[in-house]
Amino acid sequence: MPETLTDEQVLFLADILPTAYEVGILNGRVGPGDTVAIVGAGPIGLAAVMTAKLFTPGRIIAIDLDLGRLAKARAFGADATIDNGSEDAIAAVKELTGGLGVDVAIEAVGVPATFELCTELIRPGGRVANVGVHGHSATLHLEKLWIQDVTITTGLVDTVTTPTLMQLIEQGKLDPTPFATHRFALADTMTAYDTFAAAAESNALKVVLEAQRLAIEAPHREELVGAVV
Amino acid sequence: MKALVYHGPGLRAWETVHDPTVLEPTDAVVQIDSSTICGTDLHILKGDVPEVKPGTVLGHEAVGTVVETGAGVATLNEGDRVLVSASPRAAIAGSAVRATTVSAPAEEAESSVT
Repeated sequence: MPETLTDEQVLFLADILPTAYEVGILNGRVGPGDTVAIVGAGPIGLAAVMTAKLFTPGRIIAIDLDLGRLAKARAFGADATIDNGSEDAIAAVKELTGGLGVDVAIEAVGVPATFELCTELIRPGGRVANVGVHGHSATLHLEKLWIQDVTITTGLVDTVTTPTLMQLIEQGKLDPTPFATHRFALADTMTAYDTFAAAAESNALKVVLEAQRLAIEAPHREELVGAVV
Repeated sequence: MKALVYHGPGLRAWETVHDPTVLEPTDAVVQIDSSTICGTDLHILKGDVPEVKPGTVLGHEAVGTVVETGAGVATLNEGDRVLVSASPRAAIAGSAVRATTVSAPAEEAESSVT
């Protein structure tokens, strides 16, 4: 690792950046001028917003239920946001795209409803790139999709792009440091998990655990904690 | 060292575990300088990922310093600062790292914080 980069500049290359880039942007074949919908504006969705920009898309539309996350999406560079809790995302996207649908829809949540939504957001010839970790099966509406020339991809991060992403950070073309919203000592890891798990309240994106930071709590918490995750 | 250990759905603990050592010639032991938490860790803690068994140390994203390398590691030296990637096939900045074994990359206190 280059000595000129700080831990925080590089830490998010460990997972979210190459995951969003490889499984979202590259799998989805985002190209210049494309309209990209990113469903889910958590760290993966936001990393997708950030790395989509490497291809100069025409427009990035972020979709989420959380207004705070949508605000973050705008800060990260999304051109439009849709609150899927109060708006009809399909109707809103159709309006933004002249009735056609988006070129690429990136699923960054991991539930059946958002996967199915992605298949309904894309135009004929469009791509759904699934990044979300799914625990249940979803419905593939082939009765509509069979004729649409669609591509659906899934995958797990490889990290083959990490050297390139690191180079972009070194060159000042990519800055992942806005993902770090909270910092903890390694000894306060349990508290860090609480904060990260309650991200809706804490507004946490990624929490940084640092060896050099002094602990807030006494490091005696060896008891098993039945924490709310 | 200390680690965040998964103990079944809804249960986690910060506890003392064995210090990692080189097991395979391709292993490297990395002292954690900075780490973070992943949405997947939360899935694991909920019990959504049954492949991850209770007793597993969580944490798979880190920046750290190499403290020991196996005989088969040609591209890293003690003292090198490395990125520990989520993928087991991590290839970082020209160095192929299969950092640590099953007990890592863990949140640990092999550092100046006691």
